[in-house]
Amino acid sequence: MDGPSPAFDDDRPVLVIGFGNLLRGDDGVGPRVAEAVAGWNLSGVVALAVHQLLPELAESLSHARFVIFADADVGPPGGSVIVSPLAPRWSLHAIAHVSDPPVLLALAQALYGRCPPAILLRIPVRDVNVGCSLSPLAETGARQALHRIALHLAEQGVVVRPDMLSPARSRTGPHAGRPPELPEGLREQDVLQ
Amino acid sequence: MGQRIVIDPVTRIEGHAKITIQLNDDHSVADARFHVTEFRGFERFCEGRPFWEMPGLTARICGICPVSHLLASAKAGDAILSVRIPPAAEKLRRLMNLGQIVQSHALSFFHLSAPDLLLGFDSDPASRNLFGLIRADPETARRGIRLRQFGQEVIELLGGKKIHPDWCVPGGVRASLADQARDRLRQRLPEAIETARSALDLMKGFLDRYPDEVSSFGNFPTLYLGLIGADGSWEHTDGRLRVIDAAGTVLAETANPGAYRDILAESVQPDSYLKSPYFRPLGRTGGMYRVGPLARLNLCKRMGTPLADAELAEYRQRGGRIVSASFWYHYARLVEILGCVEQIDAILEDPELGSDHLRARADVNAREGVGVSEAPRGTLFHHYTVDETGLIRSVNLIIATGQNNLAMNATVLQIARHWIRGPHIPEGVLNRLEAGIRAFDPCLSCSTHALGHMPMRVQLIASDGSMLDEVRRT
Repeated sequence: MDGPSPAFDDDRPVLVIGFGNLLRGDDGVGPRVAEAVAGWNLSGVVALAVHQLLPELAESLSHARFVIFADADVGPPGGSVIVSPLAPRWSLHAIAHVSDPPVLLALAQALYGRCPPAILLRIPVRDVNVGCSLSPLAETGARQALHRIALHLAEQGVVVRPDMLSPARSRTGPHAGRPPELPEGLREQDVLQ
Repeated sequence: MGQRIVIDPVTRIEGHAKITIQLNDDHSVADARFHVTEFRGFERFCEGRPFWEMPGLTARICGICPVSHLLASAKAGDAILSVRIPPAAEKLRRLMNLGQIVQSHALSFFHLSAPDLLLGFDSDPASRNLFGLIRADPETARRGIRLRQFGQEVIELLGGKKIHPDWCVPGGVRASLADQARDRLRQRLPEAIETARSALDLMKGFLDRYPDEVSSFGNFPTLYLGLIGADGSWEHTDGRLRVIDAAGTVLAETANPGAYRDILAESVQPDSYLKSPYFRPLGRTGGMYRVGPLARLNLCKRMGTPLADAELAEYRQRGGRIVSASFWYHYARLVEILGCVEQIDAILEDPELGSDHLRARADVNAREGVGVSEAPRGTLFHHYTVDETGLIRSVNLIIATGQNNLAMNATVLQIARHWIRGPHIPEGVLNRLEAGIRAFDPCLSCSTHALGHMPMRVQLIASDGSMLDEVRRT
C-alpha cells in the first residue's frame, strides 16, 4: 500500500471506551480491556476505562474518528466476543449518569454535530456478583476482545505490533486463566485504608 | 366512592419510588403519599467491618454523590481517632465537596429539571427530555454538560477517579492536588462561572413563567436544618448544625455533631423504605423540616463570595428572607453552584494546598463517631460505634433525601390538591407531581438505598380496590 488510505488521513484519535463496575466481578471486563489498550501506548489511540457512560463523554466521541466500546454481556450465546456496528439512537428519557453507547452517540450528534462510526464489543461473562476477579470465561473474552480491538485499530490505520494481531491464546495454553495483556494492578482489590 | 391514583415509579429522579393519590367521592384529593419502594441496607452489612473501610464502603451507596458519603464517613472516622486533621487536608476535602456540589447540582438542573422548565410542563412528553432540550436550546445543554464535567474533574483530579474515589480517609486525605491539575481547574473557572450566571438568568425567567407551579410545588412553612459557618456564612463541610423555623428564628444550634440525636428523631411508615426524620422537640406533626439548597440559603447570612452574595441578595429580594416554596430549590441550587465555583477559585489560590502533611495518624481513641457534612441534597449524618479494635458495631446514616421525606409528601399532596380535577389525570399534571418531587432532587440510591431509573405507572383505584384506569410510562 502506498501511504495511508484517504479514509485514514485523519489525525483524530480512535477512541476505545471500556465500561463497567470493577467491583462487580466480570462486569469489570470492559474497563480492564480499556486499561490494557491504554497500556499499549499506541499513537492515535485514546483508551478510557470508565465506570459508567456519562453524558460528558459525548464531547470526546465527537472528536474521535472511530469509537470502540467494550462491555460485559451475560447473555451472548456461544461464549465468543460479539462485534456489532452501532448507530445513534435517541432516547425518550433524559440522560442522568447511565447511558448506553447508541444514546451517547446520539448525544454527540445532537450536541456537537458529529457522530463517528462505532462498534460495540460484547464480551461474554458469567459472574457479575460482588468481587474483583474475572471468571475464566471473562478472561478468555478479554483476550479475544483485545485481539479484535487490535484488528480494528489496524484497519483504522493505527500501527500496532504484529503480535497484537495474532489470535487470542487458548485458555488451555501456557497462559491459561490469565489474560497476559491485562494490567495486574487492576486486579487488586481497592485499598480502602 | 373514593378512588386511589398511583404513580409508579416516579421518573427522572435517582432511585425507585411511586406516588399514591387517594380521591374522595367527589374526586377531590383526600390524601397523597410518596413511597420509596427499594431497599438496600448498607447500615446492616457494614457491621463488623473496620471503620477504616467505611469511607470506601459507604461511598458505594451512590454513584451521584459518593463524595458526600466519603466525607461524612471520614469525619466520623476522625472522631473515632479523636484527631484534628491537618489544615491542607481540610481544604482539600472542602475542594472535593465543592466539586461534588457543582456536578450534582448541574445534573439536577440541566439534565433532570431543565426539560420541564425550558420546554414546559405540558409539552410533549416524547421530547420533554435532554434531547428535547438540546433541540430547543443546544447551548444551554452543552454548557450544562460541561459544568457537570468541571465538577467531576475536580473530584477526579483529587481522588483519581470521578466515581467512588477512595481518597478521603479517617485523619485526612491520601494525596494533594498536583500543580498541573490546579492549573487545569483554574483554566475552567471562567466558563463555569459564566454557565452558572446564564443559568441563573434563565431561572429568574422561570419564576415569572410558572407562577402556579411556584405557588403549588411544596409552598408551605417548615423548619430548615443545615450547617452554618461560625460567622453565619453558607457552609458545606464543617461549622455548626442549626435549625430555624419558618420565620428564621433559631430553634436549635450546636457545634457538636453527636448532638443530632437531641435534635432529630426518625419515624418509619409501613408503605415506604424511606425513613422520615423530624425535629424532635416539636414531634412528628410540627417537626417537619427541609434540608438542601433551599434550607442552606434560608439558614445563612451570606454566601461568602462576591458573585454569589450578589445573587443571594437578588434571590431574597424576589423571595423574601426565608423562602418557603420548594420550586425555589432550583434557584437556590444555581446560587450555590456559583458560590461553589468561586470558593473553588479561592481554595486553588491557597498556598497551603501544596503541603505534604495531609493525614493525622492515630488509633481508636473513641468508641463512637459522628460525621456531618452538607451533601448536595442536604445534611448528611454518618454515626458509627466501634469496638476496641475499630470494628463497626453499629451504623446509622441519616440522608438528606430522608430528611425531606415529610416535606416531599406534603408537596405531593399540595400539587395534587391544586392540579387534580376529576378522576382522570392529564399527562401534564402527572408530570407536575413528579416535578414537585424532582425539585428536591431526591437521591433514593442514598436514602434507601436503591439504584436505577424510574419509569412511571399510574393506577386509578376505587376505594373497593378495583382499578379504574392505568397509565404506563417506560
